[in-house]
Amino acid sequence: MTVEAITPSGERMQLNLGPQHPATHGVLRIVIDTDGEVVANCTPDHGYLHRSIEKIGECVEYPLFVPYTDRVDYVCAMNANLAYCLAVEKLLATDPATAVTVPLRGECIRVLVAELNRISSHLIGVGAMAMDLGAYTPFMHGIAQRELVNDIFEKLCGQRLTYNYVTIGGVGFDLHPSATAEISAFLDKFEVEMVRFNQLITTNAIFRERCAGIAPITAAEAVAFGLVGPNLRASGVDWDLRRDEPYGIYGQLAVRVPTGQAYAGRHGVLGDCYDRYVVRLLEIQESVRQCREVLKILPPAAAKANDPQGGWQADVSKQIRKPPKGEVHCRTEAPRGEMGYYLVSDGSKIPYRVRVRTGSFSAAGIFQHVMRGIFLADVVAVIGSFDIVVPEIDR
Amino acid sequence: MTALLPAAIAARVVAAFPTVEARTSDNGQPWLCVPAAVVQAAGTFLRDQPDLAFDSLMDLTGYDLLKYPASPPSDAIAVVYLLHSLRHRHKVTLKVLAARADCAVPTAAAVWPAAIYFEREVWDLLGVQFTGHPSLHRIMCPDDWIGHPLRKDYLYPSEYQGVPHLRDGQHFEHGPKRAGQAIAPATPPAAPAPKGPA
Amino acid sequence: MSLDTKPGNDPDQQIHLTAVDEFLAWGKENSLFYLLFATACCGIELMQTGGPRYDVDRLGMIPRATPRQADLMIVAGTITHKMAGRVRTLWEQMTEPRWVVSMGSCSNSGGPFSKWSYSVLNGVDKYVPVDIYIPGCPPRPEALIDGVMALRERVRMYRTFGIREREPIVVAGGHCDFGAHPGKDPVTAAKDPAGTPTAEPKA
Repeated sequence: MTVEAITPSGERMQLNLGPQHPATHGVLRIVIDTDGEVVANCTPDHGYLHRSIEKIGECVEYPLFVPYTDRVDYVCAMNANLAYCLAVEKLLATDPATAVTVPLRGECIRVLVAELNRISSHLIGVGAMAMDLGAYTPFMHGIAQRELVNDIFEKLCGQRLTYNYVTIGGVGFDLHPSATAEISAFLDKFEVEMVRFNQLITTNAIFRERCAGIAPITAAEAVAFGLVGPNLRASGVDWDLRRDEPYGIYGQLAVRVPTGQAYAGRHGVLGDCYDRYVVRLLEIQESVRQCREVLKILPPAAAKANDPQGGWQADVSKQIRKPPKGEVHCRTEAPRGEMGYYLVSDGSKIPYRVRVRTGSFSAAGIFQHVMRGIFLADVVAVIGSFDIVVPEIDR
Repeated sequence: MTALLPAAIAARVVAAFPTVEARTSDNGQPWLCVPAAVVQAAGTFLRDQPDLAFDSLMDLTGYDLLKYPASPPSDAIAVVYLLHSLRHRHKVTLKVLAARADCAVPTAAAVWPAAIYFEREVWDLLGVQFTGHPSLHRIMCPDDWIGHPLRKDYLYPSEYQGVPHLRDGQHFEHGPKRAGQAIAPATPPAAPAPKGPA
Repeated sequence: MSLDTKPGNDPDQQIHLTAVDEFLAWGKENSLFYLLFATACCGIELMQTGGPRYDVDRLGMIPRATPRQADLMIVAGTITHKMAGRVRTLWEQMTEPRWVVSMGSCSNSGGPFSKWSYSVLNGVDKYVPVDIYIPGCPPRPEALIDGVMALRERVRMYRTFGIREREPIVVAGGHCDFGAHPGKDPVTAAKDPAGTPTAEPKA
């Protein structure tokens, strides 16, 4: 239903959603002009969490920026660390004298933690979407599963949320001795829990009706507005950086890419909120499978950290102090979409420019376009379906 | 689906727009230097030509060349367009070197709607005016913010709306220069400032 | 009505309600509704603390979406200059008695952003008076519960007619300098540094 199709009631009102609001995934403010119950226009207002992370990138040395990448997207901090470290390694690789080879075990651990973090990130994404629509229980189940992942990460690197674990040249510490057993056990239990989670919410008729057919985005619109990640794939665009521009050991893994297919059935439209939700669930399943594959090919640990096979961190201390002068662009597939780093180096140990391009930023960019003509109650469904985190928008 | 090499893409663009120059960065990364006047036409060309098909604007960002060690040194603001083609899987980098004094570049929002938000951010943080942009106002900083923070000559404010930025007694030895503050404090802090929480 | 004393009760003219007051304080202590206000990473840990494993609900703490129904504001996350005015507005909308817990390094003192960021407020106690500081980046849920337990001690001492304890404390073994006006409303104290304790917050 579009606002042009109904006779304007003349009851225009301006509502303010946020910046403090339980359903905005952080401090996002949207000023909504409503015509009765229908949204006539919406204007997002950003910057409430602008922490000048890109400016900080010009002030601290390369390795010291890694904790700040955690804060760019704290829900999937391992992927955020990884994106930056890969960009720096790509910069170092533009000059053969400074090129870095990450040990194989380090590469495997990177993918392992990245996929585990993708699982826990998507749990927050789908859980928060359900919570916004009034279903509190699935979010609690998601949080409980996330605690198990946090336990593994805490044993690994000491932190539950902002890990600072993936470093330039590898990972900070080797896996603890019981890590592989714990991860396998978690994956087994988790698959059982996901079945229950789906019974609770995914097949729930109310949830489906609230999401079906809401704010469908065509493939052409999605590409034109710069959507990335699950938001782009839900619109039917078959593009995943892990398969199409592989990095690390993703080239050795079989990466299957779920895309939107109007999963909601009768009322579903390709690229609607339900498609974005289901694509994330399917990605969780794929991540579980990929973790199991990585555990199979994980080489045994070596004594030295920079052993090319069993080591976990190459020694980059010299290269980092004098990287090649120039620029590089490197992107990885974070849970919220492509996280692209554009680094400019002036040859010194402090970057000249660090640019972070995030998926949530483009998702926020399409709000004004998709929210015209929907009901006010559907605004939260739309925001939830994009799975935005505000620090990715504001940095 | 045929990916073109950067040299081939550069040749196509330069043939259509003779004012565009193909250059290489200091570490060998190719880029095209596009004058501001042709950036909209070049963008449309890159998007619509079937063998180029750059439908995806990966990123639109910028950086200040003021302190970059180049010969000759420049004080321009570089606006960087990183383009990608989903169909052909090739990429190209465009840069518009906008003069610092009269920093205006035509908008790319008509070519790629993704540019709407990216350009707002470049305006906010680097001060590049995008002429023809539908809604060019600050996106990250508050509306009454003064200055463009990502410029290399940006002076950090010492207060905002009457509230000083630093805490009482807080002093950073090698911190950023702040407006209204001497580089070394006139009176050193009385006692070593207690370390903030970890 | 002043910030520190209630009307009609000078320190030497206190009305002691004894058991009634203790009952009310017990009720307040065990049903601290917190404002669902999460800005950044600490917000995720706040959510995890409200989750099944750490479960602040067993302490009687339920998140409320509106400040009118909240006793407690846990400032979880980085506060930027743009957000600071809104934090103050939310605090002013809360009804007395109200408490503020500053969770995490960013809201304590700016955290990792205090040195190089131009847009981050170096401590939420520049805008609202803070009772409990919880250090950490982010603090573990156990640390947050430690802070809540310290706050409960303070709430238990709250008396309807009486002078309220305002000296801020730091939990979990941390240290924080409390800024220029510890325990006072920072916005009014900044305007009136000589500091009459009866300075009123502007509506």
